[in-house]
Amino acid sequence: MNRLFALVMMQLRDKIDLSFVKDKKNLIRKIVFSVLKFVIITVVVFALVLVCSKLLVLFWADEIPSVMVFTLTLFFLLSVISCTAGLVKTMYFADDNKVLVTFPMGEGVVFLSKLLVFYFYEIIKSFTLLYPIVIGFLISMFTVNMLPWWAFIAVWIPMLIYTALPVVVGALLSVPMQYVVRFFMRFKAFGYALFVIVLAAIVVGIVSLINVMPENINIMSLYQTTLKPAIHNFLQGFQSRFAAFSQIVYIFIGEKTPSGLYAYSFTTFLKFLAMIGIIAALFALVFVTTRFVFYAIMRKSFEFDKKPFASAKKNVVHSSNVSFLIKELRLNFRSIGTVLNFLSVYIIVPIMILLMNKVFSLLSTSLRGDNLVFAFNVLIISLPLFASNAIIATSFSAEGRAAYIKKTKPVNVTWPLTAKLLPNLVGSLFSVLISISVFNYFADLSFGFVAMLFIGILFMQYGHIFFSATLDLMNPQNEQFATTGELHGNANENISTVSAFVLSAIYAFVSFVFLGESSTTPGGLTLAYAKLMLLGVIVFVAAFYMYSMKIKAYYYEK
Amino acid sequence: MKYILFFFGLALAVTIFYLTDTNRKLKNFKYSNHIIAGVMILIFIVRYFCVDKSYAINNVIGLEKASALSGASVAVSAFAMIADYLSITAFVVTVMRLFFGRMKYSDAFIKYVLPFASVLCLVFVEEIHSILACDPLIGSGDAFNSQTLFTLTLSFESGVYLALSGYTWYKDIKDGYYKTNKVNYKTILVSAGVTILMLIASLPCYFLQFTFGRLSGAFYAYDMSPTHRIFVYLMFIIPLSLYFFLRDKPEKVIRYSLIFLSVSSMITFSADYSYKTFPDLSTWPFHLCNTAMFVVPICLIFRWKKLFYFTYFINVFGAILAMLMPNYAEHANLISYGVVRFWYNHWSAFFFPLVCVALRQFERPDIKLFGTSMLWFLLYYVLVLFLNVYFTAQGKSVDFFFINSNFIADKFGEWANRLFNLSASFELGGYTFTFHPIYQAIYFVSYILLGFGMWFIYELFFSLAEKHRELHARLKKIRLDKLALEAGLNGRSIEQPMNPDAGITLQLNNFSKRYGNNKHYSVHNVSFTVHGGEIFGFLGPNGAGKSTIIKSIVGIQPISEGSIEVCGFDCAKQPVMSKRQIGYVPDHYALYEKLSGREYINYIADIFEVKKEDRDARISEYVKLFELEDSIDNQIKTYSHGMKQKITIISALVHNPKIWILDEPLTGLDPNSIFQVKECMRRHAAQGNIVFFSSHLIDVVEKLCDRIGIIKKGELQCVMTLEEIERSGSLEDFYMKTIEDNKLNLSESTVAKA
Repeated sequence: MNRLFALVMMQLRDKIDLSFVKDKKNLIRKIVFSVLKFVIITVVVFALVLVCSKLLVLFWADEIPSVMVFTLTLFFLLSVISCTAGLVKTMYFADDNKVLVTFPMGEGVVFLSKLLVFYFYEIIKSFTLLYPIVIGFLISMFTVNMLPWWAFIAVWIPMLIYTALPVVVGALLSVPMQYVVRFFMRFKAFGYALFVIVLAAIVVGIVSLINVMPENINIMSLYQTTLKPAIHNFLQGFQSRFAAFSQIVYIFIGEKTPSGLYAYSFTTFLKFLAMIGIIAALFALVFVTTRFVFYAIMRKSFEFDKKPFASAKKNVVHSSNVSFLIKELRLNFRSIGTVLNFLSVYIIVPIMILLMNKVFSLLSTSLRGDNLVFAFNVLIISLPLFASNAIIATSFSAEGRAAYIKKTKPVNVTWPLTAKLLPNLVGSLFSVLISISVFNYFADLSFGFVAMLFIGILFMQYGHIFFSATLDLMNPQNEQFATTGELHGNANENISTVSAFVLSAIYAFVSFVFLGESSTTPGGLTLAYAKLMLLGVIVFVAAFYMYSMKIKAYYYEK
Repeated sequence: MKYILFFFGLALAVTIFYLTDTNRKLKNFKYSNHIIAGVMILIFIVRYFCVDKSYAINNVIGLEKASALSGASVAVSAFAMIADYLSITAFVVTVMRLFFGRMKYSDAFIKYVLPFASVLCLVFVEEIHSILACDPLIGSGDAFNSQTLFTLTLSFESGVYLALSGYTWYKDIKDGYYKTNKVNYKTILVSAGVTILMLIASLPCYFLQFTFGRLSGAFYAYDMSPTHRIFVYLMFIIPLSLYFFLRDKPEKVIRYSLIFLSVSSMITFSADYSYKTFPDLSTWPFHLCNTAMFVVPICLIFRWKKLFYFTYFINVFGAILAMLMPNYAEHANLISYGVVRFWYNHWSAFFFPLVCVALRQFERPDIKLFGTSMLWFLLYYVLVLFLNVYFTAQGKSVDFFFINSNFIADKFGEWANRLFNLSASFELGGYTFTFHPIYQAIYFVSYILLGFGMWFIYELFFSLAEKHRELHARLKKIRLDKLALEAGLNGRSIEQPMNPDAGITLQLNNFSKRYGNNKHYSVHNVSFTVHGGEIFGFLGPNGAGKSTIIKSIVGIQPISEGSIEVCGFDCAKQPVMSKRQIGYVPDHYALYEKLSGREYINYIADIFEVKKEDRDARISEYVKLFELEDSIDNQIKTYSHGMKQKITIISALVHNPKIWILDEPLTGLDPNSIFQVKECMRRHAAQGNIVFFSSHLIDVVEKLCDRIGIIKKGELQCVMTLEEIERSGSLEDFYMKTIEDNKLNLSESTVAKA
């Protein structure tokens, strides 16, 4: 037991940065921000439920548990996917396996420690999404007198235990999945082919969907006659088909009493015990079936395959600037993960624009509505693009110690570092170009407006790319990457993602305001587009300036 | 009479300036200038507040109206307004000069604008008064006629201004200032810019209304209209511009600028106060943002830290709210007195506290200072609460800090109004005193919480400012280093070594290294020289500082103190050229695993610009030597540890470096490869190059090296030839003894050679 505890603590310390605990000020800040984050998500969920039930009347208040079942099922599926992917990596491909395998412990202990660490990590992650969402639903029910106040206290125990469910399911699935991963790692062509097929299927699916959309949808008339009953039937059907998740929701909120209030009863307790039993049974299954093969499977990743003799190539001379670029292209295109990341963002964004604009084109909108559609387009183009820059916030660190060697070379480092960003810069250019073209197919703007909007969004994206790169330069994580081969809880990634949300939201809001004002002044529309363009250019110039200056001032010290 | 006062002021001021400049006793009496300044302040107060401007502020709209009300022509009224404007700037500049002494750029105002201001004030003094005091009641017996007092005081001031300007000219000419300081365009431009800024800061709030009347068109500055947004943008642009403009200036200039700005703002803000309003306490500026206009200059002048943080935590937030929701009459004209005054007041209340801390006039507060500021807030709150209640009981309409009305409650809705309506009253002396205890208590606590919240925002803001300041300082240092390098090269190209006679050498001069802000030295005061043809071994226990020295030589980390020269190139100042001379094998191989071995070596060869024929020859030679023929075109991730180390070694040698540096190079290599690496090292040194390597393998060092350095806890213990060491026994014994003993006394020959 002591060994297990030591192993779990060791891995937890490695995965979670607890340095802030020593600094009182940092600790307070961390607690305040964590609580704030929790509260904000809770309030947002509460507000959403309120808007949907009271304002839009998509469902009645007494249907909130059904919505909760739907949400929980969706989250469970996403959690299983994320846990399976995470566990494949942590269990079978993590670099620390090389050390753990040498410890004088049984495979059961190592296996168990990895699973426990993953479970704790999952709990921490759930505090930023799942738990506040559940609490948000509970508040919604509490405000309409469907729930007693003490449910807010009692819900925590089943919620914490429930978090183990996707983990054990993921652990079970991770065994076959790691074979699939190995297969695609070995035969990359299959991986690319599969990706292309999936992508093509998505594109074909969306285009077919667009084609079957009826013309002139009258949302208001359809709303009462078709949409509302459809939602109601869907929620009811969902609840009866996914009965297991309905029971989990009842464990969280209790059983419905004749008065309409939900309250915990002996049945709830029995259901709670049943959930624990299912998790324990699944865990036993995982433990029994997997632990014996665990060492054998994880050892496989240490054994390098003898590569067939590669035919001798010639030495090719390039200028150093071109050489940096070629190196980056080779590194990028030899990694299926990076390619997938590029393609998924750069192809899906134009498709989303196509779908959204088709839907909006079917609706009759006022001038204000047109401006809202415009702002949504700006948001849909910029949000995924900016959010994909999280990978930029780790790009230099992901070179591990090789990044230090760059410092020993007789070159000005700005270009070698910027070359790393070039694939993203070029990819963004095409993505924005196609997205704007698709948008313009529906909006029919003049060339000048399209050009200005294109420059505005593109430069905004470039600004965010350089901002994310600066984060990595100023707070490099090379040592962690060199030691573990991955980056856990990377603050740079988090800041980049949060800033992506904030920046895209602000840009969309500003575009809505500028366009709204443009109708009141002559030539206002040109001015509005010019301001949007100028804003993008200013963000880019500021971000690039800080990036290059910080390289100059700090790169050799970090 | 006005001319008598003017010449009296002129003569008196000239005499005093001359005496304080030449008389030793007066010169040594440090308060002489302060006394003159005090007298000037008193005279100004009399002049400024003896006129009741309330009628003019409400009725003078444009020069035509000013002319009609004052009886002067439009042209004369225009000159009178300019004179009045300049009289305020002149007063602040003069008093600041008496306290601060001469300042390069503000002296331009004294020399070039002050004579003009002085003459204008003297000529138009009556007209200025006629415009400011155009109340028809004046002279009718119902009001005090201030004309004589105003004329005499301003005439006297004008004399002093002219005296100050003249004396400054006299001093400059006498001291030969213009002979030693050539006036250039930069000086003229900056002086003009500073003069304009001084004028903007001291703009009387009524000046635009009196001079230009009202703007045509629907400009209104609320509800986030474009005009309002410009005002809000200025809320950030002004402090940022001030910060960027002043951040590099000497402390005296920063202090002068901030005091000038805050005092000017205070004076322009006070324009509608007069002898008439002072006796009535209910007209005093007790509104929260109004207090900033007085608190800031007082705190700046007297460095009153405890009071300053009251305005820092409380005023700023109030000012932000006020600027976002300005509380003046709707459709008020943009350049009317009320609007200009409102924005002057709230911009000042917003940015002064922040800029004062950002420019380090006051430190960033701790919890104790926060507590003190809240105590001041409590005092303020109690004061305005009782003033509100007291004056309301007397039937006067007051609402200091908006706690006496439901003005703020209205913005929050019905529930806040219900709280406000929970009131408590008592009677005393025939008056009814009414409080809103719950609302007022919640108001107070909310403000404290907001102050606490502001603290976190400030911390974020100031940590950004700190980072920016650090970046700026570093960039400045880089620029200075570049200038020093160019000076050191004496006109030679930057690609030439600083020390052209060095040849193939590696020289450390008093090299020290500290990490970050750590006070402890990882390596301290290390000096030695390695010459071409030598194999130099570096020994020491783990953590002794071997890798630190090597990483500084190859450029992975900067040098804290001292210098390193590589073949005459300074590592810190000529990093690119010094790195060209070096081939480096790190202690941990660091390769791009998705490249093939050949691609990686070619990538390094491209960086070092190795010619095709040279790289073909070298790559094929080393690949054969290290038996990598079968795997050189496979991806590096398929290599074993030893193979990766071999690729690292080949890439370090592909450009045939003059200095080959290896950090623990033999780890993980097979015996044949170890032999080949050792042979490579011997051959490289035999060609006249330097081989510098660190190792824990004493046998290898003993067999390979010509000289050996031993380092312990960051201090170099010795640099000796192998012969010198072996005179007293084996290297192993010597090493063990050195690591255990304190620093050895180096032999004369060793010191000379090092």
